[in-house]
Amino acid sequence: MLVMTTDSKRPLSPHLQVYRLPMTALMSISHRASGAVLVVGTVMAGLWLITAAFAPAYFDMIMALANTPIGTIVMFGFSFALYYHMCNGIRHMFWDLGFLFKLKNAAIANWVVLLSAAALTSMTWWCACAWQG
Amino acid sequence: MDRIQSDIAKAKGLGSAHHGAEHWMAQRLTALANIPLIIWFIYSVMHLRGVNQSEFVLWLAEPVNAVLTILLILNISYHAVLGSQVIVEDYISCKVLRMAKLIGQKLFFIAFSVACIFSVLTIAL
Repeated sequence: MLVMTTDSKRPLSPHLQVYRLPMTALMSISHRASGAVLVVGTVMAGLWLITAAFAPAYFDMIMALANTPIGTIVMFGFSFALYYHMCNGIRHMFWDLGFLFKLKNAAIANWVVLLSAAALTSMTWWCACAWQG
Repeated sequence: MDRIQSDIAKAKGLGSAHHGAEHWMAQRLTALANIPLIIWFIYSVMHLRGVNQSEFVLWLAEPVNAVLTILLILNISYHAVLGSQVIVEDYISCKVLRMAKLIGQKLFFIAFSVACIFSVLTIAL
């Protein structure tokens, strides 16, 4: 375990509070954050499934809640987190294969991931609204 | 898992976690399997908007939907355990709390996935 000594005169590395993260770093921490959001969303979806089998009244209540404005916002956020995590996960696979490491390519991939996630989210909600009539 | 370990890693023996290569590979494999499963899931949820319980049961009773839902539950739970394990390992420095969280979330996801799969089977069978 590394022990930090306060009497050391050596310079400190930039702290998160004063260091403006480059976009690639922001995208990286967002991958982890979206993963954490998705864990919560997965548990909610699981409860939805369990109520369908054992508590029909609660199932209908969850469906009604999902249709409220707040419920729709939560579902929208969940869908974006899902698409973001998927698109950025695919980028991670390119990294695993040794691609997209050059700074310029990594910067382009940032926007490809972000815009793909936004496009997929918009498309999903546009279709969902159209199908519902 | 020898194939994805480097020669130097093999010569030095196992790392401190003793299972880094398996963790890494399992995370990638579940991620890959998640792509088609999630696309199917989103497509299904879009169609399931506004259904009541009996309509949902009819949908889930279809064998294809039941099997894909079970695969999704298993795959997502495994992927979520691996992901949340890394988060806990990175941010929780107190060893006792870290171990408690790691064990707790593994047990939680086992209970969660078994409960979900049991629900699918109750409806589908």
